[in-house]
Amino acid sequence: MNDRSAFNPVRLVLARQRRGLTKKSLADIAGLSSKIISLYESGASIPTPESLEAIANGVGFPMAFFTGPDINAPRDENASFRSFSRMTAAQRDASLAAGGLAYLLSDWIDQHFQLPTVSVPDLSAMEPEVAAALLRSEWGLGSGPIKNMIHVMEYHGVRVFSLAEETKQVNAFSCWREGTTPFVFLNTQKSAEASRFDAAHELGHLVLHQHGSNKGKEVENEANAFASAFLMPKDSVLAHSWKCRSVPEILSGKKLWNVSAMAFTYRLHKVGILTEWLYKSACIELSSKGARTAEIDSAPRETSQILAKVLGISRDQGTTLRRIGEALQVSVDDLTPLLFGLVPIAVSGNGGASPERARNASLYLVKG
Amino acid sequence: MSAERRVKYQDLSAEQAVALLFGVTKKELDGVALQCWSAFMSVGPLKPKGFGGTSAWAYGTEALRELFIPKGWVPVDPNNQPRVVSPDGKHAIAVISGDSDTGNPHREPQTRNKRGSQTLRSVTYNSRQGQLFPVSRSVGATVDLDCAEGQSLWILLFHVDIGAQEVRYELSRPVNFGDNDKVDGWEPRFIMPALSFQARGSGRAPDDGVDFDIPVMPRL
Repeated sequence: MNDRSAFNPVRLVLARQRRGLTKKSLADIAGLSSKIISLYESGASIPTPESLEAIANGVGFPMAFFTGPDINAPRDENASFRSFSRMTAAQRDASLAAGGLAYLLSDWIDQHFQLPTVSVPDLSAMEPEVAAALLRSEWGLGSGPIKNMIHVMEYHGVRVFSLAEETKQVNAFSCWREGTTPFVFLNTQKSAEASRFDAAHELGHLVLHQHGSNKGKEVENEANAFASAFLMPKDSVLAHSWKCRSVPEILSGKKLWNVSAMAFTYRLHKVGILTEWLYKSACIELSSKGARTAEIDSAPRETSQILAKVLGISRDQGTTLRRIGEALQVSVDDLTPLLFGLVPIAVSGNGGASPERARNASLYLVKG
Repeated sequence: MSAERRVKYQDLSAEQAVALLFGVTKKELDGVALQCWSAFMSVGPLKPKGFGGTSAWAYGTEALRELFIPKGWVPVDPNNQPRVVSPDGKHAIAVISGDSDTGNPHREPQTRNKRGSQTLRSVTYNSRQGQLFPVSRSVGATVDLDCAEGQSLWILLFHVDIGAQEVRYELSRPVNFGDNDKVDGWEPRFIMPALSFQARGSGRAPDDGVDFDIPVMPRL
């Protein structure tokens, strides 16, 4: 980089956090002092080309990434992270930084494609059950099962990406970007049913907690209640699932709603189909079958329609994901995790080898 | 109407005809049909069977009146048949549910339910009328709106098609009453394009859920 004045410290912080590094660990990797990293990140000092190269190599981002405009990644304050107890600060910051990269990708998509406009209402004054019914009505969904939660959200302007962290420790989260565009990040490591419930849960945060706090036990309970009611409207559950009073019937009946056995059981109890005793018995029996840790008879995972169309059309026009990465000055290996589980993508088998290295693979033509 | 201004409605598109005759746009009428759809769709599965149609009719009637009253029409209920009547008292419109042939130009639709004496009288009157007169905004001072005599009845016939995820409707003039007590003859029929809700979500029954087709257009 020739123009040192174009160095953007915001991008350095994001790159470091994305890799889950402390300033100290980055300093060690780059052969610099922690103090100088701090100075670079605060903007008090500008790295020399040599220092920046060492940093770029250390975090695995292209040199060009550190110029460019600010990336206003999701912040701890406006992201609806759930249990902090099971997640380290580094995991949280890495996820938020990945959210910043998703913003970059989303901007590229907006620049090249016309997507549905945002139609996610503010229902913050409402009880979750009422809000769920109202949103279904507003979106013309009727009272039957939702076929694909991701598609419903995408159709109404929500941008859906995958959580880049490959761990179950980090839950899905959502946020309103600059108060105007809703984003949802799903943990695609979880079961299809759990991820679908997460999607509805995050939708609950988006409509219920746009302006207030989106953290704490109370708002989490509200988002859960919303998700349960949105996926399984009371009147429809009573009409179609009133027979579900035993575990075999629960395991069969949950498939109609495409929810986890545990979430379905809870809803059956909530709407009055299962008595307290039947509910407890069913929970114990389901737990003994391992339903709390792995979904029994899990359904296929929901995928993103928008990302599939965007990548498909782009590919047809000669723009691969790698090209998109180049345009954004990030490695394709930093984009792939944002799409993982949401859209079929070719994953390089050697963890992100460059094309040149791939071409050096030992292939021999065998004569027959 | 002077001879110079006389036009054949057959030469007009349905959209042009309703604009000329009733002073209403397709978009405005779409709003009534949309209300029928929404009301039908919002009826939960625990409601009595058939209530979806009743709800669609009730809310569609409300939407029709909300549309026409600002245009000077008045809401009336001769023999409990809800209508809106034009300012000159010569035209009335009612929302009524039709069978699956509604909106199909190649088939003659029927009303979904049997109709009563009020509709029969209006159909008899309509069948004797050879000309269509545009609605006049001048108020007919001597006309008794509630008696419905001398009024040409038009029906906004709608059909909610869950399978096709659409609502079809037409604004048509009933001219024949079948032996089954349903209206089965119309002249003319102003058939509007079906309103499709393919992309709006799942149907009421659990197994007829449709998926969304999300528009993603490349920018030029």
